[in-house]
Amino acid sequence: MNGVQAEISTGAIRGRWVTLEPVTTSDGAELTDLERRRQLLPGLGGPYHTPNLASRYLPAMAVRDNQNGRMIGLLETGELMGYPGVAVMLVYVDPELARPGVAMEATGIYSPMIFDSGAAILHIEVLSFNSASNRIFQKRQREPQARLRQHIYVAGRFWDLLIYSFDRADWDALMAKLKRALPGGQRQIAALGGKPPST
Amino acid sequence: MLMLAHADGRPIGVIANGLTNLVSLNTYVLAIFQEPRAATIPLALYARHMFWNFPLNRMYVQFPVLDETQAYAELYASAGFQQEGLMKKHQAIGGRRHDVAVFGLLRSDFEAYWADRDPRLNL
Repeated sequence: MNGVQAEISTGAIRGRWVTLEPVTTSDGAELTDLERRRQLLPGLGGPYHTPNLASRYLPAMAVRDNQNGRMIGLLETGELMGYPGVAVMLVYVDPELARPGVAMEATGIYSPMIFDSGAAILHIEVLSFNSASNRIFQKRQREPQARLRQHIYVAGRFWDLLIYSFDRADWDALMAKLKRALPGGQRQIAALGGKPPST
Repeated sequence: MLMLAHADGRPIGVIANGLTNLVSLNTYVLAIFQEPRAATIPLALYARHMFWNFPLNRMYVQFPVLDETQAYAELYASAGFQQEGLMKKHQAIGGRRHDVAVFGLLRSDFEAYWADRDPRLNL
């Protein structure tokens, strides 16, 4: 699975660092806490976000730290309005709780299932100031296909919204490049920089 | 808001908006005309009406890239919209996936574009 060592059991998918599991009503308190933290991050949309827990392609999945079981992120997908076959993926992994590379591992586990569920195109939107996310794509020669100028108002001003999209072959090619930095890949994760957070 | 455009007493097209975002102050606009290449002024008047009456910052439109829509690309550009990119293979039509063109018009675009061309459209 794109270089990710994962095991599937009882609806959960276990990777090296994180386990993905469908969000249920029993996760309410943790999800609320995660959303409260996420809303302080303008790069992830700010306060005007409602998690999309069920969608045409995949349910939202909680990202849990394998060391302590804590919910540290959320992966969502939905269909882009007006565009059947185009899935929008939202990735949120709390940067204060996760070590570098965790979001990439979670994305590597989750994203193939979107195509497996029938999506023809994976559509990803990134705010222009989110340099970390934009760098992941642009460092690998994936330029945004569209720049919606001043499309989003967050953190006190209008920002451009960058659109990246991939068919399965292109996404798999990108993930093949990224998997070198994933657990079980060909390179130590330290190449991404940073140490595991102490919290 | 749906507006019907007339010429010589006959309807020549319609323009509507929707998907308005009250936080980001943008709205989607769609124009349908019998002769899109001749509809620059009706579209500009509609855009002026929207910017004049509402605190919008941006109008935008997306449409599949087909021979049939080329005239609309020219129409939106002629009214001051700027092409902001192509979303690859986003629209499925007739069993094929087509690219989708994205055009946007900022309030500042509109003011700058029409300042010299037709000052009557000044905001």
